[in-house]
Amino acid sequence: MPIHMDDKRLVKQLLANDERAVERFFAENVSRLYRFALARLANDPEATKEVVQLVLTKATRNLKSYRGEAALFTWMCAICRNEISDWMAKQGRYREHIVLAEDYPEIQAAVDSFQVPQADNPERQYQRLEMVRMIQVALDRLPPKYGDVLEWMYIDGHSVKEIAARLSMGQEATQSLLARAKKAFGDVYGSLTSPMTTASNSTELSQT
Amino acid sequence: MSSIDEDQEFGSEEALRELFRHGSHRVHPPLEDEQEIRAAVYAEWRQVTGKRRRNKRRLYWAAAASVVFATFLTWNTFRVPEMPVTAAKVERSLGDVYLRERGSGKLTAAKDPNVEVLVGQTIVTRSSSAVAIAWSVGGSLRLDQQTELLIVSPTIVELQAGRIYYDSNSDRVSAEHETLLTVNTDIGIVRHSGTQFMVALFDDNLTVSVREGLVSIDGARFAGKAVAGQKIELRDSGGHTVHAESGYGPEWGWIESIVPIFGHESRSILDFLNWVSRESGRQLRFESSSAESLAASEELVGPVEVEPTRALKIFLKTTDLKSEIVDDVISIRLAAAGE
Repeated sequence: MPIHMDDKRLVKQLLANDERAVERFFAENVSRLYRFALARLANDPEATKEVVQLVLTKATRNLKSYRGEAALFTWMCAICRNEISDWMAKQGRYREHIVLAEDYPEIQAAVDSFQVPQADNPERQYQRLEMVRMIQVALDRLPPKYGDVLEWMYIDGHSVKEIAARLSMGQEATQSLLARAKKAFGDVYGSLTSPMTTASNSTELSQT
Repeated sequence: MSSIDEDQEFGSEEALRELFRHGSHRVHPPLEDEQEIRAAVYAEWRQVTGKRRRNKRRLYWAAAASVVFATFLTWNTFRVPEMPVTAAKVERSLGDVYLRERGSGKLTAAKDPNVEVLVGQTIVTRSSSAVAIAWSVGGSLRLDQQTELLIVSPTIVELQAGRIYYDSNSDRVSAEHETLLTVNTDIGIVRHSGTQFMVALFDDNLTVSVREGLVSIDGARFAGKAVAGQKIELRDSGGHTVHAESGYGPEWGWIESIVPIFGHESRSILDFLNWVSRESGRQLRFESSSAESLAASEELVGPVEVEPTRALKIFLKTTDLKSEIVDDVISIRLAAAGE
C-alpha cells in the first residue's frame, strides 16, 4: 500500500505548530471538501458550511491518527460522510441518502458518450449534468495545482505560454506539469466512470 | 473496462478538449463562510498544538515553567502594550485583496487606497486580483493574483506563495534604507540593491527575474547573484537554471495592470515618458534633441490611471510628439507637419 509522503509531511508540520502548514492545509482542502459535502447535502449551503467546519475541526483534532495510507483529502472525505450522516440524523428528518456514482462503484456511470445530448431528452440532460459533475470531482481528487492548471487550460482557455507566465515557470516545465496533470486526470476520471455492474442510481428513503 | 471509447483515450488532446467542453468552474464556498470555518480550524489547531507543547514541557520543565509563569505574570501586569508598526500602505488594488491577522487568521478587506499594512499581517490576493503597496522605507511592491506575503518587518517580507514585483525607485529611497528589501522564501532569501525585480514561488520552484540592478539569492543549495536581464529558477528538490530574460513582455505584463496612479500633481511629458519607460521595462530614446526639449517643457495635466503602454498612445495624441515601440525601445520623435 503506497504511503502518501507529502501529506504525512504536512501533518507532521501541522503538529509541529507550523503556521504556514495550517494555512496550506486549509487552503488546499476547504473548497474541495465544500464541493464534496454540497453535492451530498442537496446543495444546501448552510448545512454544507456546518458540516465542513465539523469535518475540518475533527480532522485537525485527530491529526496524530493519520497514517498516510490514504491521501489526506480521502481521509477527510471519509470523516465527511460520517458527519453528513450524523448531521442528517440530528436534524430529525427522514434520512435521505443521496447516492452518488463515485461513492458506490457498483452503480452504473451515466456517462458513456462525449456527444452533446439532445436538449429535450431528460436522460441525456441528466447524463450531461453528471458528466460536468464528474469532471469537477476528478479535478478535486488531483493535487490542487494539477486541477488548477487543467481548469486554466481547458475551461478558461489559456495558452501554455500564458499559464507559464502565470506560474512564472519556463514553458517546458509548464508543459511537463500539464502532461502530469492530464495523465493523473485521465486515471482518476477513468476510475470514476468505469462501467458498473448494477444499473441503478436512486435516492433511498428510510425513516431514522 | 473504461466507459470511454477506445479512440478517445486521454492521450488524445482532442478527446480531453472535447470532455472539458462540458466542464465548468468549480464552486467555492462564500467568503464569509470560509472565514468562519478558517477561524474554527485555527482555534482547534492552536488547542491541539498547545496541548502537545504542554505535554512535553510537563515531563521535563515543570518547576522551571512555574517560575517562568510567575515572572511572566508580574511582567505582563506592568508592560506597555506593543504598538502596531506600519510597513506599507495600499496604493491601488484590483479584485479581492485581504489582510490576514497572525494567530487568529482573520481576514479583513484591504482594497481601499491608504489602508495600512502592519508588521505581522499577511497580504492575500485571490484569483484575478492584484495590489500595489507603497513600501514605508521606499519603493513600490506589487502582488500578482493568488499571492500570500507575510510582512515580517519594515524591511523583510516572506513570500509564501505567488508572485511579487519590487521597484526600489532608487532615486526616491531614503539614504538610510537604500540597502535592502529582503524577500524570504522556503527555497532561498532574495536581497536587492537598487533594482526592479520579480520573485515567484509556485509548485516548490523559486524564480527570480531581474529587470534592473542586482539581486543576491541565498538558498540551501544555491548562492549567487542575478543581474539585469537574467532569470534564475531554483528547485526545492535541488538544481537551478539561469536564463537570459528581457525586462519586458508577457511575463512582466501583470505589473503594468496594477501600477500606482501617476501624476496627481503636474508633471512634465518627460517625467511621464520616464515613468512609462520604467514601468514597461523599456529604454527611452529621443530621435532628436528637439523632441526631448519639447517633452521637458510641456506639462501633463491630470492623473494617469491606465496602464503605461496604453497611456503612451492616449496622452501623446495631445502633443506634437509621436512614439513607436520596437522590442525594448520606446522611440520618441517630433510629429511631422500634417501628421
